[in-house]
Amino acid sequence: MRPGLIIVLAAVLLTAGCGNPPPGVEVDGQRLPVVDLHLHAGTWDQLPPWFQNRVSERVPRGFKWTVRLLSDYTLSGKGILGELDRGGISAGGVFALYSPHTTGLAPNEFVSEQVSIDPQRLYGFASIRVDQWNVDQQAQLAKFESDLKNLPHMVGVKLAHAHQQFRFDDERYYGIYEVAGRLGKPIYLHTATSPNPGTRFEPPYCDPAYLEEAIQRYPGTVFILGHAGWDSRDKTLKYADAAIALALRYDNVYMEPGALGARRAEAVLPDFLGRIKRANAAHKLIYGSDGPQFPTYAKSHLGAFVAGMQNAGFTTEEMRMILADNFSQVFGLPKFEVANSE
Amino acid sequence: MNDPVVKRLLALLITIFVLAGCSEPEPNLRSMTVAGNVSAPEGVSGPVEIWLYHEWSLEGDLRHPLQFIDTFKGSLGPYEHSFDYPVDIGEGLVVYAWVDTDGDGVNCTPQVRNDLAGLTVAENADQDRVEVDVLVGEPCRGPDFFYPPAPQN
Repeated sequence: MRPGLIIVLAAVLLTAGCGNPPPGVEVDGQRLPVVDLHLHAGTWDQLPPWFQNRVSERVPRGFKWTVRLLSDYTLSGKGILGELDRGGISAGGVFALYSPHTTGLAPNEFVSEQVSIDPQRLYGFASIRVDQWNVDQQAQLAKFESDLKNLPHMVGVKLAHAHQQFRFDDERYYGIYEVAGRLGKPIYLHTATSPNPGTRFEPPYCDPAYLEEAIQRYPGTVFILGHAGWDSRDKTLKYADAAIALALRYDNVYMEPGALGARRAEAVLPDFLGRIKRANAAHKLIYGSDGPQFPTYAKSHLGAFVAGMQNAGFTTEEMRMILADNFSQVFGLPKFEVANSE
Repeated sequence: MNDPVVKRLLALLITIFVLAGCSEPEPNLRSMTVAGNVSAPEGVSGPVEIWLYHEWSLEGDLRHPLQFIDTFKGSLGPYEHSFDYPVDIGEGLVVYAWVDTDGDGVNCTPQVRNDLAGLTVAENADQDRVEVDVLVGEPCRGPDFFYPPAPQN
């Protein structure tokens, strides 16, 4: 969210009746389907006060009373679907979250409910609470496994070591990777850090190189390196090369470029996409935005990312893989299709 | 609703609501000093990083241990540090320390696993000055390795 939030929201509401763009993005005369792997759900009441303050400070004084309403709507299944529609995005992954130290809670049950409003377009990612691991790890692992098996529409797992305050190389948590692999649920893991208060920024929590032992030990578990090493606190590609190296070295490793299409990453996006292109790593990149954040974010992120790929010389087929086909392949789903314009 | 008086009243009310947006309250901070000793097994040396946390923070579903407060650098042996303790968002004080045995600034790399960590929960954290000694001995561990401890059978 940013100071122009209210104006943007008003514009969205005013233009809501004008119709959304057709699904997909136009590239070289073809419409390519788009799936956004990385979207957040939640409620205002489940944000810790320091994160509520961070969200509020982006809203102009005098309008702060709207933040609760806007957050609850934007982070609901209905709000997320609206974001997808405005961006011409066919489907999206919706993340559960247990990060009381930083950005709060979006419980598995809540995410499953939100996804249930349109399970053809919304895919749930379950998470696990780890902040009292010495005390309740058996109970948490059992609940995690049960949620993955029994809650409707859970296709994957979301972890955020830097937010959840546990090291990539801490073998006490490897049971999470074992459960996910055994159940065939790919794991999205946040890499690098973030500007949100309380987020760990030291390499053992951020550098995907620390994950290599787990990647080797669980070859049947898919690891998707979220943000692909983009450090949004320092605005650098701090761990991008480490992420690319792991993705190329291991069949069970992929990357996701969440927030690299945001304005904050404008200066590094060409460099990032150049590295992906030179490494021939398009088959290992699954598109995601880290939305919704604010109305029209998913659309603007997608626009910037597609333009960046075109400028970096990606072929249409590479873009098709990144924007949708890699998601289908990793999650065992049929390929997404959109109608081509005449 | 067509009454111009009602319309003016509504407009006035909306204006008041919009302009009455509150600024964020100032955090409630208490000046505090923590002092003590960081010790390591014989033969271990290197710079030390000390991290301070609330023992517990928030309530209800959001309640959790080890909310970050402050960090500073020191060395093995005695230390003393003054800081602002956020009163409203948590209670208790935990001191976590690790010694950087190879001086690379990182608590272990995937290849080099010699840095040592430890943690102590402060007693009497409601006082303005607390004494906390920390023994570092566990390689490559974050504070969650130590706290909260596993229940004793």
